[in-house]
Amino acid sequence: MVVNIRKRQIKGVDALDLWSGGHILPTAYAMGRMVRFLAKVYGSQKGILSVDLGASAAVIAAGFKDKSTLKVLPQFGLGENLSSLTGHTTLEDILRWSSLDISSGVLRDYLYHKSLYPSAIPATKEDLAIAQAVARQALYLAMQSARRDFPQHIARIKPNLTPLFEPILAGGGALSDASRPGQSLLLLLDSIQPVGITTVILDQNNLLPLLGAAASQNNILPVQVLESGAFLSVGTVVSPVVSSKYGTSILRAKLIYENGVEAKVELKYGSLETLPLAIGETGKLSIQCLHGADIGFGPGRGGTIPVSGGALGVVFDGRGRPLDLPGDPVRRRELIKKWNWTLGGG
Amino acid sequence: MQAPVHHVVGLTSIIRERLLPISGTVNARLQQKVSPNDVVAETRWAREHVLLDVAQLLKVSPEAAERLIKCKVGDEIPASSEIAIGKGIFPRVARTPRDGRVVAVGGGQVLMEAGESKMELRAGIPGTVIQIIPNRGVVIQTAGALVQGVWGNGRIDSGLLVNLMETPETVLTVGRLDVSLRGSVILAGMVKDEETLQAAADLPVRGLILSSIFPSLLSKAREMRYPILVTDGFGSLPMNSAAYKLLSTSAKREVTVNAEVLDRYSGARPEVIIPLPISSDPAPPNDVETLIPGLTVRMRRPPAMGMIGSIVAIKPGLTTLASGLRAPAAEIKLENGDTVIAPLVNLEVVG
Repeated sequence: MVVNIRKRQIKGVDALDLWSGGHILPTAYAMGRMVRFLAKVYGSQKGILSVDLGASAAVIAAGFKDKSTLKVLPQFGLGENLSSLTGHTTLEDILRWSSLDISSGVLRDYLYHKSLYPSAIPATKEDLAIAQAVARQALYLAMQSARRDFPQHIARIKPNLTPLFEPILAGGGALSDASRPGQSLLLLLDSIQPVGITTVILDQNNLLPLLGAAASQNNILPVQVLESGAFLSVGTVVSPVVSSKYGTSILRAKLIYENGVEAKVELKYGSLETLPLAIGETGKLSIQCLHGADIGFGPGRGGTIPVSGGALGVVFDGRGRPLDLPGDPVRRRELIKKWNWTLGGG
Repeated sequence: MQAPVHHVVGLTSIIRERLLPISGTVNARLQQKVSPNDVVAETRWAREHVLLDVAQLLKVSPEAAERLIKCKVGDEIPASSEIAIGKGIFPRVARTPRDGRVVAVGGGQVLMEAGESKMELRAGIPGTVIQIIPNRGVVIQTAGALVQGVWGNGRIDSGLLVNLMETPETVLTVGRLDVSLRGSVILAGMVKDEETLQAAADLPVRGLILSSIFPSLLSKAREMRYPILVTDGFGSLPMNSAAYKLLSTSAKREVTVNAEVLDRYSGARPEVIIPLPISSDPAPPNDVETLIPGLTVRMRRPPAMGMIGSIVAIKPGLTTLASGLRAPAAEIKLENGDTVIAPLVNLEVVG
């Protein structure tokens, strides 16, 4: 039905359908198919999450052991529908994510202008700050909406938090527009608010739906592309669930590299930390949880796990779940800048 | 790289498809001269659809309901008519809630359409019908000046153009509107309050051409019975110099404001058409152009949003922008003499 609607709307879809032998598929459906496939391949207790934040819609596909869900949310797309985003959120809630002091009037004008030119990209720092703030809020709302469809009996740390996922795949214009992987990662951490230990993979070239569409014709191709390095591994993220005072130590970690060298980090509540581990490298990560912090092994329980490298290595997010941003705008903007800086987002 | 063309052109051939959203009757004839308000096609459609779940109403399975349904597709049925009767001593009865026509029967359900709305498709531009598209509409051709906008309130009208803009930054206020403007299309600049839109409706005017409008006024603008066309965007944006120059020098001419809602799929855009007498048909403008040095472009996003300039050079490879993003970009010399670097994707050709 979707394909037929698009055929009426867009010239040339007919021809594409003919060329593909009638195998043309909606992007979201193809993405959902890949997530179902990956959930079967990984077969872990945790789910697999794929988010695509594009101009036409926010798409959230989640694959669990027994069930997969696919949610297409055009109201949170960052293109033509952007001007109606204020029907689902407030300008203040969008601006809380901004690292720059931007007025609500400027933001409102941005939303309407961007809906006229969905393909335009941010060329100035202010435009980028607004674009990133809007993307965060849109993805945050999309996740809140998608979570209602997740099955009841899945691996979670707390019922009101994001379930445990491994890995998280992310794509779409808003994420590939970010100038550095750190910017994309922080956007994902803020909006998805993953918990426990997960790997974040960026689909910078939006290949996942293509692989889903190709899978019916060539079922080896998706596996070959997935293993080819076409996706960017951003890193392993450790997000403990804990309630503590700002600045309190909540986790100690030691990373042992393949060559035996060790690196240590102490994570304080409210901060982000990283340990370098380049793409292609592996290591052993030992984690000691303090003050009842839970990384998916139970409150206060640590452990040792093998980890793979990524653009940002191993990232520790000690900002708490759910993420509670400071009410004071000046302090909040300073913190956002600091977090951006820590992840190399500039 | 190719870029879309934002048409601001002094003389061109304008060819526009005017189509009904659904099948209907085409009233116009080939080679007929039409004015913007002429009805070229019309259609009728159901105001609402009613789904009757007969299986549920009769408390039977969909298969059983299928056998009990007495109506078929195309039947015109008055309100409270029995369309299915159950079995037993005191059988349940499924009745129609209102007058309607059956459009589908299946799965133990009946879909009816009720009520009727009429839609008239107007020509939208003055010109000649050069093609009839059976049951859907017409293609109309005219020649004249064309100024495209970015937002329209969905209305169409024509009238004499009156210029109230002294500069591209002019703001239209209630005080500027007097009875002498009744029946005119007003070249008006920015609008910042609802009272001004209402005052224009009270005169009434036949159209407002604005440079920009506050987003908070859009719902009010949609309610207005006269066309409102915005050339540049939202907030406080001056009119781009190309549009300002062309429109302000066309005062006292008959203009058509087709404030059509922007539709990316069909290519429909709000536009002002100023019909001009011609001896031979000028060439129609291109909808896309390849970006090359010397081309006049408009900046769609900051820096210098809305300004017009010319491409000095296309940068090789990817350029790091002030935002930190890397993208194909061009060096643009703006009208005010400044030079900026802008990503190609943020440019549109003016012409």
